[in-house]
Amino acid sequence: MTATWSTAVDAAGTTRLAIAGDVDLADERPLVDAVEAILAANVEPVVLDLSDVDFLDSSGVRALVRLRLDHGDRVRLGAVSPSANRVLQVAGLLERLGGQEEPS
Amino acid sequence: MTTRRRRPLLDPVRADHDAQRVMVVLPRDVVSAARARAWIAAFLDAHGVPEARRRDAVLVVSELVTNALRYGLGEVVARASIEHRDEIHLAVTDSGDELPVVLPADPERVGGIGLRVVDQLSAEWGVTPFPGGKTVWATLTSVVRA
Repeated sequence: MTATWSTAVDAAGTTRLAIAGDVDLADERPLVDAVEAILAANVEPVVLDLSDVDFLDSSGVRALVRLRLDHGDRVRLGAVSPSANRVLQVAGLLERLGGQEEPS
Repeated sequence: MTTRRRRPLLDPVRADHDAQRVMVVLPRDVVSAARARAWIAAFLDAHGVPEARRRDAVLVVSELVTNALRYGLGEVVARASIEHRDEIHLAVTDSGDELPVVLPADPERVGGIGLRVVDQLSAEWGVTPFPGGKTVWATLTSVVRA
């Protein structure tokens, strides 16, 4: 695995999963599993924080797409690093994943 | 156990090191995408390729190698060269005979994102089938496509 992640729960009960490093083929399944384990243990949504992601490719995007398809609004995109943001834009998926278009 | 120091940009046999052209053989392993990125980044750094283009080329290599691992067969061979001073040529070969196709964007489909990224970031790309496998190649130029 080339990425790492850690969780924190805020006062409202929302779990924030902060992902760091390079998210690729090696991380796709472990990341989906990690988020689904949180979803299974909580009723509140999970916010994925990509602000420390150095590299993201389509495998990471696939993980995000799969989580959104299977869990809808219970999985939300939080802050997104510039490099992750670019890949989501190139893939044409930023809006669909609930991220925000950054003014360039 | 001794570890041999890796010098990925130098051919250990040929005397006339052709640093304009490099290749790497990657095993079928989920970490091979990361290895391919480190390999292409070192090559492009050695040639002083600007950061923005290096970033795009690293992403394209990651996508091509990932596709070869995900859908292809056998070991994955990645090749890179710099042609005409500033064209980055990338090619990834595996032994699978199924050819990749770009599918129209579909919000209900998980797959197909990698080739769309390659299509967006490269000036040209294509698939060359041969008996026993295929090569998917992409060219990145300094000319920004409209």
